Amino acid sequence: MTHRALRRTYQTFFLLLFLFLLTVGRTGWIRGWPVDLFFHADPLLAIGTMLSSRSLHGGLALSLGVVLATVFLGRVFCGWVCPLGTLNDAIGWRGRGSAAKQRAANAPRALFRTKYYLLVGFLVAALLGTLLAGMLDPLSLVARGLQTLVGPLLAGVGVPLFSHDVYLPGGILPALLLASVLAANRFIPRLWCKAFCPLGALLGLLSRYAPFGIGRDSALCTSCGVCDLTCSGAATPSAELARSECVVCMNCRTRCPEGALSYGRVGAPVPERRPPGIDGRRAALAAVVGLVAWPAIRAGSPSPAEAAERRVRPPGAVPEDEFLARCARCGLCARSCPTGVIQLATSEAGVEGIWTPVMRFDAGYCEVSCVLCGHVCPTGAIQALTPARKLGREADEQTPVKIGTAFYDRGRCLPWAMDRPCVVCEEVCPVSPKAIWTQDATVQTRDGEAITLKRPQVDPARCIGCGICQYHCPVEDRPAIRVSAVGESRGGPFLLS
Amino acid sequence: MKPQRRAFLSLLARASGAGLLLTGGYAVLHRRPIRRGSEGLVLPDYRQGLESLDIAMSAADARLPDVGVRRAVEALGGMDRFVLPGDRVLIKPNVGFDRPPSFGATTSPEVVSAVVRLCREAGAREVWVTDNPINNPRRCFAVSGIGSAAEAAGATVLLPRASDFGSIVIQGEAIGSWEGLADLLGRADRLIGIPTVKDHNLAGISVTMKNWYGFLGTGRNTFHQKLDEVIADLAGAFAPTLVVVDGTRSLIRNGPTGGRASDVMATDQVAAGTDQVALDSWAAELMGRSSRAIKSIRLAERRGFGTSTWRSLNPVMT
Repeated sequence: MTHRALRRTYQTFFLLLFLFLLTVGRTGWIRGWPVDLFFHADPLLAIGTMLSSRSLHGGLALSLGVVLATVFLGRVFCGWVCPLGTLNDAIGWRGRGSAAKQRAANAPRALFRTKYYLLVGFLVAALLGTLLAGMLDPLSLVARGLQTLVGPLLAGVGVPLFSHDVYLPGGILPALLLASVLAANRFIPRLWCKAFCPLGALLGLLSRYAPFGIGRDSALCTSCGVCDLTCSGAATPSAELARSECVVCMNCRTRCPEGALSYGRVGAPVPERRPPGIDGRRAALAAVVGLVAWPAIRAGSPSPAEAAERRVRPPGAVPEDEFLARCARCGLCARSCPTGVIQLATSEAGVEGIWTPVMRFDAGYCEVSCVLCGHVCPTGAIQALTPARKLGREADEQTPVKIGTAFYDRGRCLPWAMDRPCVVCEEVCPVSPKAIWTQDATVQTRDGEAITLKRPQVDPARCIGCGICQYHCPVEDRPAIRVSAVGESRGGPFLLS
Repeated sequence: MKPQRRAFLSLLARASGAGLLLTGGYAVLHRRPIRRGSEGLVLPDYRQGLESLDIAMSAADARLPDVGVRRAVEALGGMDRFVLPGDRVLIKPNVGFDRPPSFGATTSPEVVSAVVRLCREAGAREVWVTDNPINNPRRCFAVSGIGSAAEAAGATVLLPRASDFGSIVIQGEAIGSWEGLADLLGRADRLIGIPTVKDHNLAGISVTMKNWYGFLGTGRNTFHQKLDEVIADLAGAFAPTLVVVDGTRSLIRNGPTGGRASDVMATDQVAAGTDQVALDSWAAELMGRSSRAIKSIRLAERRGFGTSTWRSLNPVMT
C-alpha cells in the first residue's frame, strides 16, 4: 500500500465515521453515540472557547491530542482526518488537464494568506467574547451544510436526517456556503483549505516547527517538478517545502519518480519566504480590523427588546454573553430536536449570532421532558439537563427551566376577539397546574344570544415558555399566543414576586 | 468556435438530462399522498360479519390490569366474538402525550398489551397499534411505555407517516370530511379503541369518543370551536369492533395533559363494550362526575349513538 492509499483509507474511515455520527444525531437514533466526538477534537473550538469563555468545556480536552499530533507530525488532521478536507479531495479535479494546468492550479498564491488573517480576526473576536470562528470552522461548516443541503433531499426519499418535518427557515445560507466550498475545488483543489480555513491556519501555525515532515533528498532530486502538480497544500515540495501549508497528503512522495521525497525526521526549518508565510503587518491589520469590527457588529445587533422577542434560546442555554462565547454553530442541537423548534438563526440573533440556535415556534415547540439538545452540545453553550431538573422538582423547591413566557394577543384570540370557543392552548399546556387557565365569561353575540365562553389567561409564574400553545394555535399566520424570551431563567425576572 | 459551441450544447444536454433524472427520481420517491377527493374513505362498520352480543357491556376490577381486561372481555363472550382468525386488527390507545404512564395522560401499557395478547390468541393475522399524538410520536410511544409493551405482546407499532394520511368521511354536524389515517383505517378489518379516563377543561372528559381525535390530522386544532359537536360527530362516524376503557388510573384534574402524580386517582377498573356513550358515562361516574354535565354525551345520546344510562344495558360487573 502506498502512503497515498493509506491516507485515503484513513480519510474514508473518518469521513464515514463523521457521517455516521451526524446521521445518528437525531431523536431516537442517538442512544449512547458520541455525536460530539469530532467537535471535541477540534482545537479551533477549544482555543476559541478558552479565549472567549476563560474556561475549557470538558470534552474539548480531546483536542489536545490533535494539537500534539500537529506539533510533531504536521497537519495530519487536515490531510487524513478532516471530513471537509476529504470531501474537497474527493471532488477536487486535481488529476485533470495538462501538467501546466495542474501546476497552475496547485501553485501557491498570495490569497492563501487569508486564512491566517481570518484566524487572527476570529481569535480577537473570541478574546472580546464571541466565538465567531464557528461560522467558518470546517467541522461546523460541513455538519451544518450537509444538514441543510442534503437533509431535505434525504427526507424526501424517506431517509430523514431530522426527526421532524424538514422545515429549515434560512437553511439555504449554510447550504450555499458548503456548496460554494465544494464547487471551488473545480478551480483550485482544496481552495477552502488553502485559503480560508481558520482551523487549517491554526494547525499550520502549530506545525511550523514539526520535527517530522516531508523531506527532499537533493542528491536524488532531478528538479522535474512532478511533485508540485498534485500537492494538496500548494506547499511546493520541489523546492523548500512550506511546512505550515503541507497537509501530509503524501501525493508528492507517491508521485516522485526518483524516490527523492520521504516522510520522516526533518531538520530545523528555514524561514518560510513564500506567500503562505504570515506578514506581521497584515496580521496586525487583521487584529485591528477585528477590534473595530467587533464593537460595530455588537452595536448593529438587535436591541435587547428585539432580542427578547425573537431570540429565544434552547432550554439549558447559558446566559447570552457566555452563550455567544461558547456556541460553535455546529447545529447538532437542531438535529437532535424532536420537533424542529431549534433552528439556526439567520437574523434573529444579529450578525454575531448567525447560525446560533434559536427557538422558532412556527416550526415546532419544546417537548416538555426532552433534554437532548444540551446533551449533544459539544461546547457547553447548552448545558446538559436531566428531565427532572428541566421540569423542576416541587419536593426540592426547584423551579422549572423557563425559556420564555407566553403572551396573549387578545385582538387575535378567538374567545377574546371573536367570541368563539377555542382554548387549544390550554389543552396542550404541559405543566401542572396548567400555566394557561380559563375564565368563564358570558357575552352577548351579534344575534343577541347570551353564550358562556372560556377565555384563556397565562399565569407567568407557571409558564415555562415551551411554545406548544403558539405551535397549536389555530390562528396560523401570527398566532394569538406567542412566546418571547421575557422572563427566561437566564435573565432577570420581569414581574415582582 | 463551432466545436466549442457543440461541446457546450452537449454538456448542457447531458447536465439537463442528469438533472431531470434526479428530480424525476426525487419526485417519484417523494410522492405526496393521493387525496381521495372530497368524499374520502367511508369508514366501514368494524363489527361486520360478527354475531351480535348477548351482553353489551362489562366492567371488571383491574388492580391486575391483565386479569381485569381478560375478565371484562370474557364477560362479553371472549375475544373470539370480536376478532376472527386472519383479521387485521387496528388498535387505538390514547398515546397523545409525551408522559410516563404514572401521570395518567396516556393509556396504561399493561392494558394495551393485554388487549394485544387477546387479539393474538383469537388468531388475528396482524395487530397494529397507532395514534397521531399531540407531542412527538416517537417520544410519545417510547415515554408512555406503549410502544415497547405493544411490541412485546405481538403487535406492530405504526408511527403515522405522511403517506398514511388521506381524507376520511365523518359526515357529522360540525365536520364533513377530514384528513386522517385513512390508509390504516381502510386496510383494517377490526378496530379496537383503548381510551383512558381523563379530565378535559373544555369537553369535561376525554374518553372513548374523544379518543378517535387521534386518527385525524392537519387542522384539528379548529375542532375546539365546536368541540362537543365534533366529539359527537366522531362517535357517529366510528363504529368500533370493541372498546376497552382503561380506568386503572383516572386523570381527575389538569387534563388532558396532567403532569403531577396528584392529578391522578387510582380507580382500578376497566370496562368493555361497544356503546361509546354508555362507556363514556360509566367513565364520568368513575371520576365522580355526572354524565348529564358532559355535553358531548348529551349530544351523542340525542343523535342515537348510545345510551347515557349505562346500567340499563345490564352490564356484567366482576
